[in-house]
Amino acid sequence: MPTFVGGILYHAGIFAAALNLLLVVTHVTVPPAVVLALRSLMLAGLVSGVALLVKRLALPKMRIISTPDDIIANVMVDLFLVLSIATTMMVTLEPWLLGSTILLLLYIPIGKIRHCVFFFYTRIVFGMLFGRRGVNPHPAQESQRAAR
Amino acid sequence: MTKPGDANLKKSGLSDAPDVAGGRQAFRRLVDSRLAASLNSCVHCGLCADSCHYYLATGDIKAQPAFKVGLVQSVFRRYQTMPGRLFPALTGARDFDPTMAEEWIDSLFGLCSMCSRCTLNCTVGLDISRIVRAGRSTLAAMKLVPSELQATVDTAIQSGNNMGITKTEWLETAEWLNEELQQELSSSEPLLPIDRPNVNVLYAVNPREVKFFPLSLMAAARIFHAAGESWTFSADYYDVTNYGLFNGDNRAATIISGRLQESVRSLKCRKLVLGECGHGYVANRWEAPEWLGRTPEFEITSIVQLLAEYLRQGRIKLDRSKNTKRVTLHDPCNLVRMGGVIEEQRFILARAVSDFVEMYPNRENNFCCGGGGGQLSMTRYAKRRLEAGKIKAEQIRKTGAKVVATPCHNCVDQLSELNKEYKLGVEIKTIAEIVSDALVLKS
Repeated sequence: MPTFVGGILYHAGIFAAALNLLLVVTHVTVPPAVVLALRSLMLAGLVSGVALLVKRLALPKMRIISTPDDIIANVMVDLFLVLSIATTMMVTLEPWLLGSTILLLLYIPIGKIRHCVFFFYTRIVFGMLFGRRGVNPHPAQESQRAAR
Repeated sequence: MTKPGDANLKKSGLSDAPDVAGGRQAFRRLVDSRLAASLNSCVHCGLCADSCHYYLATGDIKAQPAFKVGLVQSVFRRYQTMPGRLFPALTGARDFDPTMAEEWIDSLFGLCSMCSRCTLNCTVGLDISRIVRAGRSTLAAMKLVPSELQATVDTAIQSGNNMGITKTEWLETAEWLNEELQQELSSSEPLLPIDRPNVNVLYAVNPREVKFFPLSLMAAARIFHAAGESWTFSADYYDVTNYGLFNGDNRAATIISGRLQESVRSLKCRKLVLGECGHGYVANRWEAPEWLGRTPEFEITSIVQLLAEYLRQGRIKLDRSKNTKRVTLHDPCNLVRMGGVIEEQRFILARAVSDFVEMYPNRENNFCCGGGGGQLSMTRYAKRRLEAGKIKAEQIRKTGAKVVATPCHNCVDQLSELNKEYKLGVEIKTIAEIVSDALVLKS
C-alpha cells in the first residue's frame, strides 16, 4: 500500500510539474493559492519519487527487477521536480527547468518513461479484455452482487 | 561449440542444442501491437509481487511476476527496440541464448500457473499472462516445452482426448454408467446418449471424469434428466480441455478446439456446453474464436451457467437440507477471473447447500490453487506447486468448511493434493456433484 500511494503521489507531482511548466512557457500568472497547491503536490511527488528510488536500491526484491534505466529515469524526473519547485520560488531558475525538460523529453523514447504513451493503450486493452468477458467492471454483475 | 547453459539443458533432458535463432524468429512473429505495448509499459514497480501466490508462499524474488515479465521484456528490447540494440546495458536488454532459454523454461513454465491475478492487479494494465504465454509459445516453437506437458498435448492431438482414452473404453464406460443410472431412475431411455443428433446440448467433459471420476458424469446426466434436457456426448471428441492454451502452441490449440466445434456442427447441436473445467472454458469460449479465425454460429456456455439457468427457469428443484455440511467455494482462475463466470456458482450453491461460507479474497480476486497453467502435468515442478498452494490451503482452513466446491476438475486434483499435504480434512466436490446430491427428482 505505501508503494501504491507513493506511486500515485509521484505521478500527481509530475502532472503538477507539467502544469507548472505550461505556466512557465506561456507566462501565465496564477493566484498564489494555486502556486502553493502545485508546489505542495510537486513536493509530495518529489518525496515519493526519492522514497521509491531508495526502495528500489535497498530491497533485493526490487533490485532484481531493476535496470539502470529505472534509476536514470527516476533521477531525471526527480531533478525535473526539484527544478519545478525551485522555479516557483526563484524565477531565475527557469532556464534550468527548461533544460531538464529537454533532457527528459529526449529520454522518453529511450527509457521507461515511454510508458506515458503506451500506458493509455495498455489500459484500453485491459478494459477490452476484462470488460468483454464480464469480469471487471460489469454492471449486471454489480447489481447481482448488490441483490444478494 | 558449447554455450553457457547447454550442460544444464542436457541435464534437464529438454534439448541438446536449442534453436535460439529459430526462437528469436518465433518470438518476433508473436509480438503484435498489444504485446509490444505491454512489453514497453512495465515500469518495474514490483507491486504485482503481492498478487502472486508463488511469491507470497515462498518469498522467492524470482517468482514475482515482474521478474518473469522482465525475462521476456529483456529479449524484446534486445532485438525489437532501438535503445535495446544500441544500449543493451542501460535498458536491461539481454541476448536470447541457451542460458536465457533455460531461464525462460524454469520461470515461465515452472513458476507460473497463468492465473492472471497479476494481470488484474497490474497498475499499468499489462497482460502479464499473455506475456508469459508468448514466452511459452516461443519455447514451444523451439520444442522446449517440458516433456510431460507436451505429452498431454500430443496425446490429445493423437487420440482426441488428453488421457489417451480409446473410443471403446469411452463407449463402454458410458454404457456402464447409463445402465447404472437407468436402474437408479427406473428408466429405459438412454440417459447418457452418445452421438445423438439434432439435440440442444453437446456436453464436453474433462477426460479425467471418464477415467477417474465417473460419478461426476453420472451427476451431470442425472441433472440433465431431471431438467428434461435434450443432450448428447460425442463419441469422438468430448474433451473440454485444451492444453494448447498452456504449452503455447496455437496450432495444437486450434486443432483441439476446432474438433470440438466440428462435433457440434456434425451432430447439429444448438449449443456447446463446457463441463467444469476452468481453462477449457477460457480456451473454447474466449480464445478459440481467435485461434480459429471465426466466431461460432452456436452458443458456447459453461455447465455452471446452464445449471443456474435451469434453477431460474424452475427446470430443476433442489433441497438444501440434503447438503448440511459447511461448504466453501474455490473460484477457478480461468473460469472466473479470465472467463467472467463469477456469480452463477454462488447462485447455485445458495440453493443447493444449507451452510455456505465464502473464502477471502474471492471472485476475480481469488488466489490460484496452484493447479493451473499445466502445473498438474509438469510433475518436475510438483514440489513448487504444492508449496505455492499454501495460500489456498490457509484460505480454506480459515473458513472452517468441510466441503470445498469448485467448478474445475484441475482445481479438484490440486485441492485434493493440498488437502493431503496441509491436512485440511475437507471433501472436494464439483458444483454438479453438489447439485446432484440436492436434486429433488420427480417420483
